[in-house]
Amino acid sequence: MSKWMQFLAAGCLAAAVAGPALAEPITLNVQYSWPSHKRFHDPLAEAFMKTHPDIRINYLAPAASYTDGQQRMLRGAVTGNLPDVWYSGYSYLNELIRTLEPRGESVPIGDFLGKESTDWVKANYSEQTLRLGQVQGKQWALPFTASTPIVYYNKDLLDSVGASADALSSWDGIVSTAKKISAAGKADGMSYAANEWGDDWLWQALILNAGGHIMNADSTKVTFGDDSGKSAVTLLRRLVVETGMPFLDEDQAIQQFASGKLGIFIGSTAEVRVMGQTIGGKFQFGTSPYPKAIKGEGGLPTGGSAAVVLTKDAAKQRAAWEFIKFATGPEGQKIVVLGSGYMPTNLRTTESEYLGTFYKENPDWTTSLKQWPIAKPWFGYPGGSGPRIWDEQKVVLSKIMRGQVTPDEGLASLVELTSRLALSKN
Amino acid sequence: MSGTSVLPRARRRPAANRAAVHGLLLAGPAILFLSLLMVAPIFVVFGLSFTDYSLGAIQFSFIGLGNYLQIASDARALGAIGHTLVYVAIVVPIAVLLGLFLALMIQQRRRLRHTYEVLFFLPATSTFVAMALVWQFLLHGRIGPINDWLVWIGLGRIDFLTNPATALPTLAVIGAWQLVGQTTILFLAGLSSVSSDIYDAAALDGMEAGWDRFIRITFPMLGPTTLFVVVTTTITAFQAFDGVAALTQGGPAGSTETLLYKIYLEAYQYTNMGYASALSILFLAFIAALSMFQIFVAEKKVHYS
Repeated sequence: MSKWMQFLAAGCLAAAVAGPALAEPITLNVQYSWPSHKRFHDPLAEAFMKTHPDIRINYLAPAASYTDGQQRMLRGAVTGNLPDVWYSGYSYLNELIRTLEPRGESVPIGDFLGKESTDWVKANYSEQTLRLGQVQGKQWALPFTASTPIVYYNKDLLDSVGASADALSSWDGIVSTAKKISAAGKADGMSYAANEWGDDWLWQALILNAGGHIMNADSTKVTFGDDSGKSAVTLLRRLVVETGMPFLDEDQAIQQFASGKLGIFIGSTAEVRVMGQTIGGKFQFGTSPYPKAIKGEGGLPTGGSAAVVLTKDAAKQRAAWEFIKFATGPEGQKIVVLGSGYMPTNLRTTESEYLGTFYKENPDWTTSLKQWPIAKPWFGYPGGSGPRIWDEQKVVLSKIMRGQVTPDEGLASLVELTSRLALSKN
Repeated sequence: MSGTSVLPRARRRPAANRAAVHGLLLAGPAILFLSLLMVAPIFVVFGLSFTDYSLGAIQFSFIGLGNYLQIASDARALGAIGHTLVYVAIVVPIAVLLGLFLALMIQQRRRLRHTYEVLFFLPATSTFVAMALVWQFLLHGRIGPINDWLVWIGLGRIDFLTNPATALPTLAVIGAWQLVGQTTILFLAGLSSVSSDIYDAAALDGMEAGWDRFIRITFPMLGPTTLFVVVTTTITAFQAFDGVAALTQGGPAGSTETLLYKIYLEAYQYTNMGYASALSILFLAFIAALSMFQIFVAEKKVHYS
């Protein structure tokens, strides 16, 4: 490098470091989903602004869900009214980028990551975590929150029927335990509300866990009509027949579990904090990993969100990257995890300086952490057909669970409708 | 009418013109905003209903009547229309008859009349989404107080909101509960306008009170009010959305998808703006037909004055 180049580079560096400090503080408009997540977003922004006085974080009114947020982004793209940073739900990332890329509205996170040292990237983000933020092999987003489904159980109810939490490691064990609890008559055995969930997360979990895939690698064929799909639909019907599982949606199931009237609830790890608070010592609850798949290859769909930069202003882009680095860094992740129960997306979070000690003292919080090795991307359908496909799929799942169609017929119609809707737009 | 207009026209014209200009000036802002905010969007939606526009897309093309033809073969759209009709068929009778009944009962009270008025009107003033949370808890299939009570009297549990057979009727009853306060107040207003002379005259003829008096005097005199209440309640019931969005999201198994909720799904969940616009036009046609019925047909047959 010539002297001149060095001089220039040093100058740029100095400008980059000193520039923001001299200028007006930059305000970043940040949008997140789930209003209840304010409890960790607010302290996160506060901590960030304390160390970065030159950047101000302005949260927009939170979206009600990932779907609602996705709609806001699509509308925002039309009206030119996008936030600077958005936390996109994983299953919507694909569609978001495909809509925004032709409009030039999104900046790939890879551009920023590429400027950091390789060692730094390696020390903070695992390959697997980064993959969750990739669309067609390109790093568009940086994973911010991550969750896998886990099993919550009411220890008092388990004890009352003489069941042990060890049994919950397999579906057979879960079914027999739930059966005992329902038979005792004081509470319902379990809830696995796959058909009433707001999205197909729990349904995909069954497929992925049985070693299956929703579609093939280039999304040209629906592939869950194999043994994985068969075992999934058979199990769903079995849960209703054998344990008398009630039909509840996510909110109702959580309400019932928290009131002590449900033995086993399978849902997101992000509820650990809330569960602890709502139960408030009325009974003892514990968590255990999602039941082991029949095959060794099984995985679980990763829920949560990844940060996307949507501003076109160069200074704001730099500020946004600083903020995302903090939010997905060990300090930021510590705040997020403690406020929810999510799995940290940063490798350094488990160091004793951050959450190492906490995890040792609170084993219920580590359940999902242990599931990182099997955390796979939450499959997103091509062409924005996801919400419609789920609306149609859950009707069929309900029919299977209620016994209005046999699991085999149901699976065939699931594959048929998914193929029709997913492939029609391509 | 025709007798008065034989006055010389030339003399009236300047004054009439001035009045017309003044009138137009006064109404101008309202006309402007109404056409910008209400009428223009309807035309935009009408135009979009002939396209395949998808929210966020850069380009779209005209597909003629494609969207309308699709409605005819879309089982879920037809289902949504059916659900809406069932919903209306449950909500309107309950809200109208219960409203009339409560109004008659309240009217006879002297001291507690205002207390009752306020009590029954409360549901109409509350924020429905907040109320929905209360309903969700009350109707919970397993831990809800209503089910505890049903079990206690020996009827057994009903999964009100999670059984496809009961979810829509349950939503309809909640919808009626929301509307009863309003219909009661409207009927009370109608009752107070019935002249006491008629009752006095009837009393002289020996019709003092009771069923006879209601059938022969009160109900016929309430004709215009009843028509108004039925039409507005029907239109409101047609717009069933917030209960669906807050309590069932169209489920279980799509059994509570109403027309308006289907439009919302198509437009904002599936980003299928063109198709949603066609459904909106259909919806608009329903509402317009009801209003026309009120203005042109029924209004003429219910007045006794």
